Amino acid sequence: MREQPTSPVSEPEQARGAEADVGELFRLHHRRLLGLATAITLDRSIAEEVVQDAFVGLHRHVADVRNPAGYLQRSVVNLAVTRVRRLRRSRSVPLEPSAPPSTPEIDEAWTAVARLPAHQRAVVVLRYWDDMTIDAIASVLGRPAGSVKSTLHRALKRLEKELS
Amino acid sequence: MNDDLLDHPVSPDVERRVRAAVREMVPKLLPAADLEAPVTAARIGAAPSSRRPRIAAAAAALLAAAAVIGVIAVSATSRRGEPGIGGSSPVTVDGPSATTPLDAGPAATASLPPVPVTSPAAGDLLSTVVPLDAAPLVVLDREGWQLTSLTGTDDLPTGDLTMNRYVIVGGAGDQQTWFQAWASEDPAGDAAGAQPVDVDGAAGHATVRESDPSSGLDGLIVHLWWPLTDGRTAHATSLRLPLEVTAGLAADLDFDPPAPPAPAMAVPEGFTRIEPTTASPWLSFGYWYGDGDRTLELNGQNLAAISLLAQVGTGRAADRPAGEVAVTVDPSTPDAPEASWQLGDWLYTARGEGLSGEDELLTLVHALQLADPGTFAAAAAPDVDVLLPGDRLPLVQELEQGVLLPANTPMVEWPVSPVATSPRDFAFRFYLGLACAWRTTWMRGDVTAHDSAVAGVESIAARAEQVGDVSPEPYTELAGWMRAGDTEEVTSFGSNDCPTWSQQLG
Repeated sequence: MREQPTSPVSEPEQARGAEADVGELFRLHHRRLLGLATAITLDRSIAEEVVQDAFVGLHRHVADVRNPAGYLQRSVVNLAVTRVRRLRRSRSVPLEPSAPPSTPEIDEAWTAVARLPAHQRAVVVLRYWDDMTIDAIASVLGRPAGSVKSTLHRALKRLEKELS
Repeated sequence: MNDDLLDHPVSPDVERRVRAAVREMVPKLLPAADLEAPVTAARIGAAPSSRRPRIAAAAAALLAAAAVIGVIAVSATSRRGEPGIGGSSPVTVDGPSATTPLDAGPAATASLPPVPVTSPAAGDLLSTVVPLDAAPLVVLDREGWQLTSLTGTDDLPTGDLTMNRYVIVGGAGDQQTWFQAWASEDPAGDAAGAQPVDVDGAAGHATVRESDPSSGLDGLIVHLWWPLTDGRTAHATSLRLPLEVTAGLAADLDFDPPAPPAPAMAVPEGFTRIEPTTASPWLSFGYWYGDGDRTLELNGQNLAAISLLAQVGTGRAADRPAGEVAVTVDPSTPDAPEASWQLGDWLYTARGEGLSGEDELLTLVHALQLADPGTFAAAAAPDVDVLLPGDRLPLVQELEQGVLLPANTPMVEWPVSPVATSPRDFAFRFYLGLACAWRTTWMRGDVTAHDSAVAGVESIAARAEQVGDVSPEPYTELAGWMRAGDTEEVTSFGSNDCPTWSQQLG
C-alpha cells in the first residue's frame, strides 16, 4: 500500500514517535477526526466514541504503527462505517443529519449525502471536505484506487439522481 | 470536473453542490468550540508543533475503551410481556435437536456454577466499597426517578490493553502508583529532550513530568526507554513513582521470559500485578435514570488502577473536589456536568443532563444507593426489562434455539456473569459473538468449513430478529460475503466489537 502523500511523521520520529506522540496526535487531530466521524455517523456522541476507539486502537499498537496519523484516520473511517452498519440494524428510525439548516440548495444536497450508505459517505467526505485525491483516499482506507474511484462514482451517481 | 473521475463522468454541477454542502454542513455538526479551530490546523499531514509524552491520550484511550464497552448499543427498547427475549417465565428447551453445536462442543446446560453476586446490596454508592468481581446494582433514591436503560459487560475492551505489558500498581485511591513495561520492535530512536538514564547497564532515556495539568492529578509521570540486546526497545511508564524507582523496577524486568510476549519479574513488595486477561474479569456497567425531564447516567468500571491512569490527560480540569467526588465540567458540554470518583477497585462516572448545574448533580450522586436484585429490577421503568446475572440461562437457551453453534461453544459459561444488563443488549452481543466465531471458522477453513460457517450465520439471521429483537441484516450481509468469497469484507466483520469469548470459538 502506498504511504500517504504527506507523511505526518518523519522517519526519525517514527522510531520513538509512535510511543511519544499519541498525546500530541490527540491534541492536533481530535477535532478533525471528530468531524470526519460525525459526518459519517451523523451522530456526534457516536462519533466521539468512534474517535476514542481509534485512539484506543492506536494505543494498543502504538509501538508498531509507522504512520499514527494515517492509522487514526483509517480507524475512524472504518469504525464509523461499522458503527453505522450496526446502528442500522438496531434502530428502527434511520440516522438523520442534525446540523442547523442552511440554504435550500445546501440542505437538499446535504440531505442526499446523509442518505448515502456510510462507506460511500465516508469517501465523499474525504474527497470534498478534506480535498483528498483518489490515491490519498485509497491510501488512507487501504483500498485500491480503482475501488475508491468506483465507490465515489456510485455515490455521485446516486446523488445526481437524487438532486436532479 | 475533476480528473480522477474522467472515466466516470458525473455532472460538474453535482460535484459542486456536494462539495459546497459537505464543506458547509460538516463543521456545523461539531460543537461550537470545534468551529473555532480551523480544519486545516488539524489536518492529517500537519507536522506536530511540539512534543510531549504520550500518556495523556493513551490514558484517555484507556478510559474510552472501558466507557465505550459499557455504553455501546444501549438504547434498548425491549418489551416486557411480549414474545421474544426478556420474558420472565423460564424457557422450555425442546431437546438436543433444537440447538446444534457443531463438532460436539460441550453442550451441557443443565448444571451451572453459582452466580457470583457478591456486591453489597445496601449502602451509599459514594461510601461503600464494592468488590472487584461483581458489578453493583444501583438505584437512584429520589421520588419520580426510574431506571430507564442499562447495559453491562464482562468483556475485555477490544483486544486487550495489557496482554503484551507487565503492569503493577501500588497503594490505593488517588495516590495509587502505576508501573507498566513492554517491548517494541522499533529501535530506540530520537532521544532529543530526554535525560540519559542507566538501566541495568543499558543506555536509556527518560522524560519526566511533575503532573498532568489537563486532569489536575498530581504525581510524577515517567516514560523510560532503553535498547535491548536483541534490537528491540524496552519501554516503561510510571505514575507517581520517582525516576530512580522507575529505573530500578525496569532493571529487574526480564524481557525474554519463558512465556512471552510480556516482560516479567517478581512482583515487588507493595505492588499488585494487573492481569486482566487471566485474573478478574473487566467489568463495566451503565445505568440510565430519568424523571421525564432530567437524566442521570452512571457508568462504572473495575480495575481502578487502569481507570485511574485513564483519568490522566482527559482534557478536563477537576475543578470542584467534594469529598471523594471530583466534579468536572466538560467545556464543550456545559449543560452536562460530570462527576467522577474512585472507590476501592471501581471508578464511577455520573453525568447529568437537563440539570440546573453541578449542585443538582451532586445531590443526585449522593442519592445513588446500592440495591438487591429485586429492588433494582423494581426501580426500572415499566417498559424496561432488566436481565439480572442469575437470569441468563433461560435467555441463552432461548437464543440458541434453532441456531447452529460454532465448535467449542462453552455453553455453560455464558449465563455466569456478574453484571446486570438488558435482554436485548445481551442478545445483541450473544449473536454478534456467535457470528464472529463463524467468521473465524470461515477464515480458517476449507470448503466444508465455509459451508458450515454460511449455514451458521444464516441460522443467526433467521433467528436473531424473531427471538432477540436484533436486526438480521448484518448476518444476512455476512453470509452473502462468505458465499461470494469476499475475504476482505468477511475479515472486517465485527472488527473491534467481537466479544472476547468469541475468540475461543469456531
